[in-house]
Amino acid sequence: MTPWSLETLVPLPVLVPLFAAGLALALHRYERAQRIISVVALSVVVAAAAGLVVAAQDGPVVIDVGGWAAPVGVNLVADPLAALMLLVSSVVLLCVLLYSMAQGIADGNDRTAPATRDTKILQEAIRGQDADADEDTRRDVLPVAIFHPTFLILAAGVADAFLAGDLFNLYVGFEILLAASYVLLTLGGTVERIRAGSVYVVVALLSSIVFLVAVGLVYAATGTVNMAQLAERLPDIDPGVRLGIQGLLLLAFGIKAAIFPLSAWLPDSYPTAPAPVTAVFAGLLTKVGVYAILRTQTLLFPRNEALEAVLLVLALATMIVGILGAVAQDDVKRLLSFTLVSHIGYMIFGVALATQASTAAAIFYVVHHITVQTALFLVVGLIERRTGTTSLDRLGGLATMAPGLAVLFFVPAMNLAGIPPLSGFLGKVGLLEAGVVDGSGLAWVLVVGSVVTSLLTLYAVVRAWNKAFWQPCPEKLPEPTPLPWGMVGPTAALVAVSVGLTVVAGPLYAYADRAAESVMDGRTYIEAVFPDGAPRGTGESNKTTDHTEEVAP
Amino acid sequence: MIVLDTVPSGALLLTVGVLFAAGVYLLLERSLTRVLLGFVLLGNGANLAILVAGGRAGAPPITGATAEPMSDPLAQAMVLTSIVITLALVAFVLAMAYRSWQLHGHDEVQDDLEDTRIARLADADAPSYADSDAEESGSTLDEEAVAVRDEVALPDRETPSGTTRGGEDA
Amino acid sequence: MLHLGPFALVPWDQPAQLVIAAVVVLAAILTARARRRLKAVILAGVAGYGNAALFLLHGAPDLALTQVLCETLTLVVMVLVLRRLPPYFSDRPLAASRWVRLAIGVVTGLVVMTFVAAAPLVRVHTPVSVDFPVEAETFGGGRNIVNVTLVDIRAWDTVGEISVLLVAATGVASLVFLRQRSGDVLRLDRAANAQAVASGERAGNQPARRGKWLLAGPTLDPGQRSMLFEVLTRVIFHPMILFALFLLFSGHNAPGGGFAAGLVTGLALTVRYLAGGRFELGEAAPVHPGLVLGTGLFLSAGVGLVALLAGQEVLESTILDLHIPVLGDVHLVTSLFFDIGVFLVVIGLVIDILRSFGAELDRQAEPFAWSIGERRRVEVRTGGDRA
Repeated sequence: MTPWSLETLVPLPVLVPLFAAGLALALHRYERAQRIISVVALSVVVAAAAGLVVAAQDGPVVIDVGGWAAPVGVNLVADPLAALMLLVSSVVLLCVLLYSMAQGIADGNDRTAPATRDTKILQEAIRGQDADADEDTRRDVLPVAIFHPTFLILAAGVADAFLAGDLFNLYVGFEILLAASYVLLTLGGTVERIRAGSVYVVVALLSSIVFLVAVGLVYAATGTVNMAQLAERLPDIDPGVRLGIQGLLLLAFGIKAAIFPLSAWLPDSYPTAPAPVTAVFAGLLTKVGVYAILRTQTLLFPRNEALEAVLLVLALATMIVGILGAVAQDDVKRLLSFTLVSHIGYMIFGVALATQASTAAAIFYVVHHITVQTALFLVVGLIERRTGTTSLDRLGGLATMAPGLAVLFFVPAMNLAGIPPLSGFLGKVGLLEAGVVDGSGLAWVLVVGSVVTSLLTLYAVVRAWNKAFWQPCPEKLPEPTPLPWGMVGPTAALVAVSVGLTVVAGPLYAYADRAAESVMDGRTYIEAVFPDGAPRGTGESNKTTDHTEEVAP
Repeated sequence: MIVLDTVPSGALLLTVGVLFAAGVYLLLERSLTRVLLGFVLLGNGANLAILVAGGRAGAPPITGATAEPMSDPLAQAMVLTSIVITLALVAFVLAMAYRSWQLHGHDEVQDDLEDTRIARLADADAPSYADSDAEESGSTLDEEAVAVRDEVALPDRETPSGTTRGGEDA
Repeated sequence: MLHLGPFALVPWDQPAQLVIAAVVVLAAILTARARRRLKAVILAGVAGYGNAALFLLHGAPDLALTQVLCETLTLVVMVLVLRRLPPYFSDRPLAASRWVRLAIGVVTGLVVMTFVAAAPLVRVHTPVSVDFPVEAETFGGGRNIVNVTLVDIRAWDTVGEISVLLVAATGVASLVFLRQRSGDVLRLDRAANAQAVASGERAGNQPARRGKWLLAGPTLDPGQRSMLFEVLTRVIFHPMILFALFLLFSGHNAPGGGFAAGLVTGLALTVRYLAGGRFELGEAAPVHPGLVLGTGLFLSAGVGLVALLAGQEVLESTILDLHIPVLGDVHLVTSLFFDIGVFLVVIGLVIDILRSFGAELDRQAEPFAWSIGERRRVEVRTGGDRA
């Protein structure tokens, strides 16, 4: 290949952040350098992802890492779905990075603070006596040098999970992003974060083991872990074993995507992290799970009506249980965490219907939800910065106190609830249409459940809006601290992006439809990986798929 | 030449089963050290499972060393990756267990405070189910939270957080 | 071969496999039953070493080597942390649910066993790995197929894996040090100052006292020193490093490679730390682990980027047959640089672990010392010794 062909872009979203993370860690004493490295690296990723979105229109862009022909080596595949997810997630990651730099996760500089104050702060933080201690105090105890490298590695892990064309590499991608998320979630090691982190880490470790065993079983049953080859080989094997493997993969990804009943850990652990970390977790990490479900269930396995029915029931339960939890919450962060779980149900609904229209709607919904959910958590971070609390019982009067903040909250909140003509509305309508077209009894139940969930979401966010912004404040809030532009800017940008999705809804929906087409019908994917239907490349592996004689006795 | 016979060995199967049973049993514990040991056992079990997935035993996969069929190198490469990842995560969980001990004097996973608070309100028939729009003074909530925290989070206020303190006051 | 309904299995591959499997099974069951932390950790270690033996019997020397090294490191690290934790697990409040948990465990074990027994039997295709031997030698330039797979064929996985190592190492340090991530390396001159302050002298340019066998030996409490251990450490440290380098450079054709080499180096450092205390660690590895970790990932990911910029596929290796006057013909594969990156990351991980669980825990424990149930302030101040 030539140096600057489009294929060159494919590995960049993973490699550049990793390279930058290594550099940032080696330069851990130079905070300024770290900041520049991170911002440049993630900007390069955004540019590369944008390029891939354009390139993938004409079919998946594939590279063989190290030049090893597809079934032998690892390959990366940027099909329309992967490219779209990559672009959205990299934009979100860049916004969150800028926000967190202004918020000062990275500036708990222990060299300047006087020792006595240090000691006091440290003791307080260690005892965690005052969970609502003002943000400044908590910020001071966050470790300096590790935020940037860890965040970059998280970005690399997310990108690798999207691009992986190999099941074991998908496992590695998950491990990268999970390991980074463990560190980010327990930053500073306060009582709350260690408690929440313990739950999160134990659950995630369990899901990783399930995933690893499933990969092993896939290899046992098919003799390959290459996804394109799996799509060819899995239909040939014993249906019982295949269903078992499918179930195990669904279990592993279901935990990550927080599908009921595997969702209990989420509202418990996410809200305790620093605001930008919560934002990126809520926006992205669960969606990586949804993406993995979409990719494996549609590309690798032949359709299975019974499993689809089970998924539909789970989608309904996820929606309803999640939103009922949200309605009961008094804390904005927890409320949003519950709506997050609830709206995962919509995406699973789309995946479970397993038609091209429903999958397209689900993909559109994922894109919408990543931006809106992240934006909302960033706004909540601003509220917390401004008032020192996120409890609805203590907030009030923000509409007059901070009209700008009110707008920033109101727009994505309405979008989340699905008010026309915003993108949330369009995504939901797409899902409902697909459900109606399906026409089965269960699909109708889901359609009704979706509408109810949407109304309850509206109730939950309006209640939050009323209490925090509209009603007079129940107690005197502390002196308002000015919000740094570095925090407001990225938040506003992300809100603008989420509104922008409505503006470009037409082309975006068309793109999602193309992405759905390519995952539903695996042939384009397989042909891109193995042109002319045979494994490509220079290696001797060409003969691999030619002989398919029985090897088991 | 790779071993193509995939008939599993009963001895390895039994080992995998027992490692998983013991691992899950430990993982359901509260003590992070035991959870960690459970994870270590599960990791070992998963690695053996992948080895079984690669087929039966054979010669070491080094070309030219022997003419006998070799055991599957791809399965081995995957296991090696997984061993190293497990090592890294074990170290991290251990750090978390240590930190938890430093904070609480034990290394047990705690319940969620907010859940506990809501459960307590429900037990006391307090207005958690009543519309929370109703007037409810913040101080009550705070007192509740403090009470819950005392019970769940800090059984002993003078627990060894002093270790770090000690380091700092030098 | 036995046939049980739809299943077919052989009782064992070799009789020795059955014996070792029995040891692992027993160790796993006893681990679950142990109420004493140390006992549980050691039993889990036995299960791990048993696994290594099973790998070796299966024809996987690289796995066995890595597993032994990892298990040893895990054991050392766990024991380092267990010094601080209470000796027994508490019994509350789960005793009642024990049978439920046991039932869940047993059911899980049976389900996994069934899956693992069934899946290999349904394979109808040839595994992709049949081509690995030829590919590895022709295109990867190495005879150790597993190593070529790790650093070349599936190098992409390995890049991901070392980034997990890097993140975990920084995470460990962040949780143990909390906010002194940029802390300095503990060199001997720091110890000298600390001792001066402890004995009431003025801190300043105290010349560091250097030990006869280990540089930092004199910083230890005389009651805790073991001359034999120090001599032994002195004798084996350098051979261990040499062995590690041998593993690193021979890994392409024989068991070894960057992981194993990094772990051996890490264990050599561990021995130095155990024998000579935390200042010995600082003297043995006088660099900040962040630098080592960062450089390692920088190198490995950089190899990929360089290949990309040179117009090759990302991470593509090149075989160079050079003729160097003194050394003669040198057969060099560029994936060696990638493996050196892996080597550095592993060393960085070990240094980070040692200085967190070893050195920092020592330091945190020094101003206070506790026996079970009561805490007693020890009148030793470590003055300038702040990380």
